[in-house]
Amino acid sequence: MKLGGFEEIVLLAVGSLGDDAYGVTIQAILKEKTKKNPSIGALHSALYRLEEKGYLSSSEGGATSERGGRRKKYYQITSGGRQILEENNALRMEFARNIQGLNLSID
Amino acid sequence: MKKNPPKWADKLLDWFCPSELVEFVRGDLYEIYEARIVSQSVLKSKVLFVRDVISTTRMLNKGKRLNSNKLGMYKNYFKVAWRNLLRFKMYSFIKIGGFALSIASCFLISLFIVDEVSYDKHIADSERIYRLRNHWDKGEQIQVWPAMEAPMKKAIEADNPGAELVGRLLPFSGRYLAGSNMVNVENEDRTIYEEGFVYADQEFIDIIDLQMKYGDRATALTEPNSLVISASKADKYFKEEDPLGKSLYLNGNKGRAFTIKGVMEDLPSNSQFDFDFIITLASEEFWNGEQSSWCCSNYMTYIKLDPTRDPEEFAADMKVIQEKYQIPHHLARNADMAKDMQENRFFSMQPITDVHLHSTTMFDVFKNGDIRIVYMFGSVALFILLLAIVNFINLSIAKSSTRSKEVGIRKVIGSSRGEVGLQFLVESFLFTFISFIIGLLVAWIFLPLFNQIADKSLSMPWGNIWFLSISLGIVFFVAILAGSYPSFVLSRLIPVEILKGKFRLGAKSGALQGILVTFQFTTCVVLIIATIVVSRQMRFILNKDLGFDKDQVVLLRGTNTMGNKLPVLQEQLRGLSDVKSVSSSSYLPISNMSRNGNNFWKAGRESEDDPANGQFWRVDEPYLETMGMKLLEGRNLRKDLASDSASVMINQQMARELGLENPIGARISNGDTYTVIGLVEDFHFEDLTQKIWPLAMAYATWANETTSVRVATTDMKRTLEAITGEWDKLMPNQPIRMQFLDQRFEAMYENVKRTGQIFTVFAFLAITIAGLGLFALSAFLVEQRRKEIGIRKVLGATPANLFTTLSSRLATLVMVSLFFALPSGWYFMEEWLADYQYRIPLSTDIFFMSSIFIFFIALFIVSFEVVGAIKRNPSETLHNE
Repeated sequence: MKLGGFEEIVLLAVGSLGDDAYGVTIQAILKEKTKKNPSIGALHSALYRLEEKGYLSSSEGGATSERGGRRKKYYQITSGGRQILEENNALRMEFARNIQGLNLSID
Repeated sequence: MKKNPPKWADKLLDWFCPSELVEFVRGDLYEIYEARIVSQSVLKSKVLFVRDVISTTRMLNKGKRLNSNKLGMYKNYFKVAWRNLLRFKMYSFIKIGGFALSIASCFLISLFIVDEVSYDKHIADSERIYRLRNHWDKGEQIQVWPAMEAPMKKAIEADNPGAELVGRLLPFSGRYLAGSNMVNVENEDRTIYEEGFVYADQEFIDIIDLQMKYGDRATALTEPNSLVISASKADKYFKEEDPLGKSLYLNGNKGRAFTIKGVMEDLPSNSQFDFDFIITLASEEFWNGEQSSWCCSNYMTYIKLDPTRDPEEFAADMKVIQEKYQIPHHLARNADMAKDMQENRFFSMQPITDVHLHSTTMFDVFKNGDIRIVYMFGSVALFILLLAIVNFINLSIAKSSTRSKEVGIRKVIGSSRGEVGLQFLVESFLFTFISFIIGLLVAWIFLPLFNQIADKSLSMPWGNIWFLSISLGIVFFVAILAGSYPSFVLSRLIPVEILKGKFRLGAKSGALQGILVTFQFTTCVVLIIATIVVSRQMRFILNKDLGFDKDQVVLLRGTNTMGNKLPVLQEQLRGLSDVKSVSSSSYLPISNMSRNGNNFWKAGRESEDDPANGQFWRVDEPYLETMGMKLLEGRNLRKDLASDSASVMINQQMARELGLENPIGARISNGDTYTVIGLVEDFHFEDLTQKIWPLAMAYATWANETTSVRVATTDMKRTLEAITGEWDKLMPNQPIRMQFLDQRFEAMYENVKRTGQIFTVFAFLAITIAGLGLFALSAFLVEQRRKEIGIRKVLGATPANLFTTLSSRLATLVMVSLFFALPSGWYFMEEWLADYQYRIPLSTDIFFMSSIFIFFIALFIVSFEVVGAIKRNPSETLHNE
């Protein structure tokens, strides 16, 4: 199954947030890192697709007094999610190796 | 301002988000919102909240919606409406078909009207551009005309402050080079006939904001002999070439070259102006002293006012110019006229955007529309729409009996009155919407045909945001209007009574039905009367004895350029076996030919009498014979009598207006004095909206733009070939242009004919829509009385009895509507016919025929159902009892 550009970023963001990945925090980190502000609809839409494809799993948090007592939906990256990220990266590196002067290493 | 996010937006979330996600999404939105109101204004936070909610629409295709009761209810409304639509096919077909037809008609008519009222609105600053008009108000005789004297422009610039620009246009066909000409391009041999020449000032093209394709508008007409041509003509003559600086010659006059200084975009179809070649008026002087003479009014004068200048004051201030220039001019020649002018003549400013629709009462050059036609079509459109709405309401009421049990059950289960009402509005909306879509498609299909009939180039405004919003507005409006009565009545029903079987339509709804049907009949009768009158008047005009014989006359145009070859052509043509006579004169008894206004007096009484305002035509000896006009007294003008240069023939109207008892030998004057030698029977030379004006005809051969050939032939094709053959021998480089007198005559009435055709089509549609409605209505009413009919039959009623019983109410309604329709039809038609000098009388048979016709239609429609019901075996209808 394929992974769209925006979906990949969302997947990475969820992974980087660890245990605290739900709508608002994901939107915040995306805004901070990409300098773009994805709409909440677009974000949930992407999360829904990622969960459908099996790259994300979710668990429901308890009710708090914030946000009118509504629960949060926390997302975690699944092993399938990790695998597709690695595959995508491998593909990218394979091409990148042949591009003169391009440096894509992690450090 | 409350601090919570807008509720309606919150509710939308249930629609937009999958039900398993909605709580979490809502939570996120609230969390963001709560954070926002701390740092931003509440209003901004709310707006952003709404934006975020809208962003969740992209999840519409995912998961399942929250299963809201409300939603389910709406779904159910649509489902029930759809099932009803399919179940009662005839009923639905008539409801939707009638609506769709009416929407298509309204739509086409609206396009027409929008186009008519859009004329010249595209001109920049059009709200302060005016056309100057003369008024001559002599009590009963009010004359209005838009032409001014040549020096008027300079006079305004000097003596009436507040005009930003003053520009003149000389469009009158036949004045010098205005109208049509033979065109040569420099260094080319071909000669091409072109129409659409006008003269104009540089200021004129600035005022009307002429759009240029090539060249600089600011200097396009400043030099003498400059010319601006339209883009389509530029393409025709200079394909792929830059036309600027190229020269054209007119009518073979190589001594004068017109240089193309600019190419304008073709004038839009919704402009009062219609020309392709603009010759500059710079240094143009048509005769010695012409540009400074206050004698003759030949120039349409357009004025762009300063934004602060009031047009009425400006027109009133024109009196200064009258005092300073016009009156002194006339005082020197005719003191009475000068006095008359001072007392009765004044000016007015006509807004340029009014010219197209508000100029019918005066002489004008370009083909204009008519505000009355706009009103007429507008009201027809409105009535067609009303008829369809009436159908809708009537059918819904009639059918309510079959829906009453449904309403009862709904109410028992727990629907409130409002919900039942809403259900019927939803149904109404569904019907309206489907009709609207079909109606648009029908309009789209018929648009080319409509364009052809109406002589327009309208197109569907699909992408227009106004079109979309107004259309949707109309759908809602009509849906609510048409659905409100059924929704109101049905929602009021009391469940216990319905379910006990006690429900009957109240007397009130019967009365309302009666009123609505009466309205439909009344409209139909008025339309039928109008259709008969319009078509009769048309036939009357086209067949009226005109005083000349328009058949079998061939017109050869452009013979003025033949010079001394013209007499040769005339002789050659006279030699052809099918040709009876040949005459050359530009003055023909059809519109758009040469004309000239002249005042005539009895010789010697110029200062005592009021003049007869008439025409002074120049004709040759065979003119009367060729045109088939009748000489009542005296003799024809003769070529070989030198004394005939001071002789004229006059028509009866001239004799009447001058009070000549024995016209032969009388002497009349228009400045020069002539002896009357012949009296010609009156003939119509303008269209029949005008009276026959006084006319004098003198002998001359110089007015020879047209050569008329009377033929007597059964093989017109061969005759025309023979004429063309003679022409080609003499004029090999100029193609012959032939017309038929009778066709030109019919073309004069094209507008009237067109209006009549459109009117007839829409009247027919209106009657069809009303007829369909009546048909469905009678079907339901008969259906309701099925058992009654059965019982009556069992008890011995004859078919004739039954028919009378069933249709007597209808007959009453028709009688009532005739009571309203006949007087209003008479009134409207009197108004319409008042425009014609020569008109048919409104005879009683028109009204009689219309009445019989509507009775016949009504009975015919109703009898379909009634006869079926009467024939039915009572055992079928009663076997359940």
